[in-house]
Amino acid sequence: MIKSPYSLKGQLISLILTFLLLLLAEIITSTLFPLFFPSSFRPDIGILIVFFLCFRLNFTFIPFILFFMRYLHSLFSLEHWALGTCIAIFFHFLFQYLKDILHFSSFVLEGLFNGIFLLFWYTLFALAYYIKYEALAPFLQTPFVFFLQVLFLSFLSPYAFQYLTKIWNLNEKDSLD
Amino acid sequence: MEDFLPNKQGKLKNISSLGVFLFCLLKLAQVDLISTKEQTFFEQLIVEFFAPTQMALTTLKTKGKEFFADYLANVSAQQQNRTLQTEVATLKNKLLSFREIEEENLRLKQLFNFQEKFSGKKLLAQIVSRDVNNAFQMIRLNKGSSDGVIPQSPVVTADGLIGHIYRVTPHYSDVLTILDPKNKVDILISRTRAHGILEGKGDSYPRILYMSSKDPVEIGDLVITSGLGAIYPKGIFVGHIKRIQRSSIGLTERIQLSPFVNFDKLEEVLVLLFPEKTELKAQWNLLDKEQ
Repeated sequence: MIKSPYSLKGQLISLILTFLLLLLAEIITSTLFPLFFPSSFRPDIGILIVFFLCFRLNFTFIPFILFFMRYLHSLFSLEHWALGTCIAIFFHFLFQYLKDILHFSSFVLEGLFNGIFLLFWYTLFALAYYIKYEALAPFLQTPFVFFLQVLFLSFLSPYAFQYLTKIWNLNEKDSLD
Repeated sequence: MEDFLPNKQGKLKNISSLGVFLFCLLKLAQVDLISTKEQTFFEQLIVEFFAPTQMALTTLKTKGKEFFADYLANVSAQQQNRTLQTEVATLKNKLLSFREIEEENLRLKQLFNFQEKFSGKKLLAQIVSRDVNNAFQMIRLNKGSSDGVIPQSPVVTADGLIGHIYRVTPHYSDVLTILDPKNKVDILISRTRAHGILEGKGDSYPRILYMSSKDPVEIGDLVITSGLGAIYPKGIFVGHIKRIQRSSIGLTERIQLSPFVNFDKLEEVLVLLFPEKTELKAQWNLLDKEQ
């Protein structure tokens, strides 16, 4: 029997798998990266999962999924969940408007656009950080490591999206309503 | 045109998105960017469940390093004659193990000598992982409330101050290091006995604020904890003055500190446990209940 991607059960399984993937990503970032790279190099892979959900899923309860994603993230970080959720929902609105315009025809293009969106995400984060602490976000003080991080995530994003597309049983161009 | 008009489901999604967004915005206005230190049962469950994986990966790295060192030792030994090969490899392996043990002993001895300076219970803990977001400076330890760790316990090494315990679960705890902007430590310049506040900037060099211009600091001055603030005991080494930037009219100055602790190479730390803190907490809880 073929599992329908649009059934509630199918979506629930995909959702659980996505959460497990996020937890795996958090463990890799918090444990493996500091072991093998300089401790300031900790790319937040969870952002890519948030991007995928914002771009490809159009559920009614998507804000609550985004909230839970960032809440899980906050268990591995000092970052408050509210900040990540605010930015994620902003991106969700943005992607809903951009999804008809943007068509990722190649891996390079997909990586490039994700790189731009990542820079935008970090800009919003830095803005919130500045408002709260009246200080530059630490990643802006080490621009080389920061850009290396964005480059790494941009390179990873097409592969991550491909994998998540399989998890959610989506066609290449479809979004799940 | 109709495509752009939201349908009923779309409207509901937009409303729920806006609702969650506004709720988060309100929450952000109320609180700090840093998540709460009170751990719910679910949070404890997630941390307790996944932290062993983080610990296993850290251990795997140490073992991998040993294995790699052994492998290298064996490869170099192959270049020598067959008779000596086994002996050399064995000796090298032993030497590597001894060196590792020697280094570990040295670190533990330093910690042991250091801990004698402080009264109260001390707990040796290992670093399990670091903060996922590199904008924040948190480290996770493999000791928690079941080992007696309580929030705000100071964390140190033989070199100096690390920070204090911020969140606790039964078997793991998170340390807010002195590099994080959220952490503020009352410090003392050892030479002049002048007070100041140490504040993290998120990078490797925290800054010192509110120094009196009557007691000018100099580059290289030793900085220790003052004991004020009821978190850190007096006299813990923090670092030395690295850089001083005075404004042209001399009213303000930016002082940068170089911590004694190398945060990139942390492996073991000491958690200082003060029984009086537990008593104090119990008293506060009692007062809260009475109110």
